[in-house]
Amino acid sequence: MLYTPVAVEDIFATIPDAQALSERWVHGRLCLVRLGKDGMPRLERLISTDPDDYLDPAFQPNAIVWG
Amino acid sequence: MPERRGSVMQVQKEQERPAHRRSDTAENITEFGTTRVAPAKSSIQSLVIIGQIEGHLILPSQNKTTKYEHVIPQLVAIEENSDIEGLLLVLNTVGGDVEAGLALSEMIASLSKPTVSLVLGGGHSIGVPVAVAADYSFIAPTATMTIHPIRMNGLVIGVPQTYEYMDKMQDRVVRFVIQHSRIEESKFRELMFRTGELARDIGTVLVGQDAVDVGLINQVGGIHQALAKLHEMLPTRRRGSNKRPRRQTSIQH
Repeated sequence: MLYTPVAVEDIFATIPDAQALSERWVHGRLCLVRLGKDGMPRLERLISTDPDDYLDPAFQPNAIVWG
Repeated sequence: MPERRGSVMQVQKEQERPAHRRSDTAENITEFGTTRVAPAKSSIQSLVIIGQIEGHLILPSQNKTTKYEHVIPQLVAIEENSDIEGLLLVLNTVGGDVEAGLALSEMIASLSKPTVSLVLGGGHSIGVPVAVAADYSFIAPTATMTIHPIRMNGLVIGVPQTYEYMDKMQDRVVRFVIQHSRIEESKFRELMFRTGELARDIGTVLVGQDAVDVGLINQVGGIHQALAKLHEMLPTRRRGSNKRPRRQTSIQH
């Protein structure tokens, strides 16, 4: 059961260009990765509670990540 | 083969780390049931709750989501890891699944370590219990919190039991919020069912100071105030008081 002010039709709308993210472990950190136009796995979101991880150059947005 | 090379590289990286930061695989398996526990560096960890709080259904990919299967193990690890002393929650969420939101809220509320939440942008609907689950809560001056009744989507059977079920779901949210904040039940329900404020719904939008005035959030502030408060709460715990300061429950059930 959803409890949100966002309309149900907006949540479940299907946008053809929306690309699914894949999960990948990179050096012990969970990353959400999107395949870039160049076919490289690009970091979309780092899932970590450690603030220091977000300062790591290897985990900056759009960085190429190899699991 | 590339996978094996990757593993060798990871092992080498692990070995380059200082001894206190190296994770012991055997211990990780025993303590957490996994080998993949990131070594802790900062004594304060931050958890960012963004977009939709996703429940048992995977939402379409245009939604930004926070998944409980990611967050709950992180909360377990935070509780279990003795190097971690406090947790900062940062919220910019439109709400989402009731059960997932309440599960996160209960996990946060039952942590033995000090927790501070900061609502930025929005902490709507099921984001409200998540925000108040922390020991102390902040809201940015421009951030908003929408309080409105729970809706039902999909097949609805027109019987009294349907209403009773929704009422029970709503009560779970209301009860959690009033037990973890200073707001009175009557005030929270009045905000929830207020008409004339929202264009497409009934309910109320609280902006910054409004959320503090009704007793939902403790203070208006930003990241500096939130981290300062969390640091202030850490020594209290170090001085030997295992019981962290809890806010008083205003209404008994």
